[in-house]
Amino acid sequence: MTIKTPRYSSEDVLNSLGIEVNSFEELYMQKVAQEMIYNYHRASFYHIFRYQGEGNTHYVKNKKIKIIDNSLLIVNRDILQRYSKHKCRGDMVLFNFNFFTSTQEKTNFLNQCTLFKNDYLIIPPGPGSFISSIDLYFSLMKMSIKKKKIREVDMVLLRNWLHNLLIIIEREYHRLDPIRNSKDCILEFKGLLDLYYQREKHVCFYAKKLNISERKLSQIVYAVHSISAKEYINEKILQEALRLLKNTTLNQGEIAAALGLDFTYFVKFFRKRFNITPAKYRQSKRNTII
Amino acid sequence: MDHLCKNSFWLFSLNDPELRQFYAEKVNNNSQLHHAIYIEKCTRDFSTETKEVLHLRENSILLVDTYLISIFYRLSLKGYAIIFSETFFVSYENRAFLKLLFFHNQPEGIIDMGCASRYQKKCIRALCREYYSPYDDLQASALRNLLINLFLLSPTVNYEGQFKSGHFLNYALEFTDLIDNYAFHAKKKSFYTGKINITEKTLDKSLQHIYHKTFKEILVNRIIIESMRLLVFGNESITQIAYELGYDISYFIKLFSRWKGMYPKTLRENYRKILNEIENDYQNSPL
Repeated sequence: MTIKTPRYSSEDVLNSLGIEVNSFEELYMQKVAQEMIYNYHRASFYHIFRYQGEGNTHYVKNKKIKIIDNSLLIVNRDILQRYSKHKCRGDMVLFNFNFFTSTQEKTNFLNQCTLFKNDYLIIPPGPGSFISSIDLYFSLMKMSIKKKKIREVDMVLLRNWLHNLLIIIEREYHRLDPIRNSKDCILEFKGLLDLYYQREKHVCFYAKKLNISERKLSQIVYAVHSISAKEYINEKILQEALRLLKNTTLNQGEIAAALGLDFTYFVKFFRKRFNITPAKYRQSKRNTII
Repeated sequence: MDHLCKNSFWLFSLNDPELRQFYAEKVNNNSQLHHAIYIEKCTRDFSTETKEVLHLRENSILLVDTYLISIFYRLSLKGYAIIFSETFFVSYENRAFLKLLFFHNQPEGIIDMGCASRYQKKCIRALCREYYSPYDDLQASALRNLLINLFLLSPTVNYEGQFKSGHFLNYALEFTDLIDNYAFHAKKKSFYTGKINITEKTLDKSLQHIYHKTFKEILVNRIIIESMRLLVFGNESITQIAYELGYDISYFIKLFSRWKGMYPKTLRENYRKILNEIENDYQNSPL
């Protein structure tokens, strides 16, 4: 008979606000923590750990993770984890979904945030500006939360500081190694392209949406498909043109409009790629269909 | 200095010469921009539309409402001007927050946020850093959060009613939006209640509950601000200004002198004199 790993909701653990900003020292002193953190458990809130000094470790899904000085460990909610029995140094922010998502803007942000798409993430120490920004937001959050009476105002302050902290970390994550998360990028890019290919044909639009530079986007697409991002977009449009020509009875003007192109440009574009005019292509397809 | 967040957020250092130009082009010409001014050090005074010159204190933050005209004396100031439009505070909750901030605190549209605390200074530095970093999709959110928190950290600002919600708040906000645009053509309550689809009694209640003001006070306030702007920075004759504001010329002069304590012509001359003085000052030593 297997023992089910305990799953702690935020009400069990976090205070009623739905957010906690503590140092590891403070955590170890909490009674409720002493009972649960050293065994494997799941917690339905998000964790952002910042470690200081050497020799810090954490365990996620049976894997031992070593974290160096001044780096961040981000653990998603409901992930099997346990804290190290060896005392760690640093601080942490723990927050649940409900705390953060007070407005539509914040909800959208959290849902799209790439930091919480994996089980866990390690952010190594970045440039001095990054470290000092993290320092700043941690101290601002501590200031807002360490009060006897927390008013509505303090909640808003906390939420905004946390939002900015997440933004900064997300930026650093993207900067670090876009090839590492290029798989997500490619998938997202293709998804976006499916939605917007008729209206937006420029690489810069997609790069902005994905929060990377155009150059990086092109590099990623090239790494996977051996063509540049622009070529990929063009190819997508032309494949759609082929489909429309072959399977529908729309005239060429309507097809060009559906693709968001000027008619004469469409014909030129098509011919340049396929060496025959759209009309001829359509005819040839009609002839082969019996 | 072309870092724009969708054309709605700017940050200038106070001794940036482009700031003067910016004010002349955008702020004083009826674009709906708020500005928050953080004064680190100053040696002279800053005047807005009030007759009295606002005495600046070092290490203070001022928040100025839209439509208010601002005249900077040429001064040696150290600090920052943060200029943002209402659309920057995009979500409904944020816009409500801003409007309530103004109405609750200072009817004249300038809020003295008191001394900048240590954390507010950190906020401002973070704002600068964020503003000057390369543009990405997240920048607008980050700037917005910092700006809101900057205001929320002020101990002197009264936050009562910031977090009210409900019908009264909706009506009150709709009403102020309408007032911004229609105050000159429509001076009767019935126009506004018709547009919002509420009774006059509900309108009165909403305004009293949310802003603690009457319909007439809000209406007249808006007209006064606009008349000041047109008088000082506009080139039309006073007759034309009166017409634009929806008044007969003689009635307008009577009203105006009752509001401001001097005739429109006199006020215009006074301000023009000040503007000339500043201009000469600036020409003579353009640093």
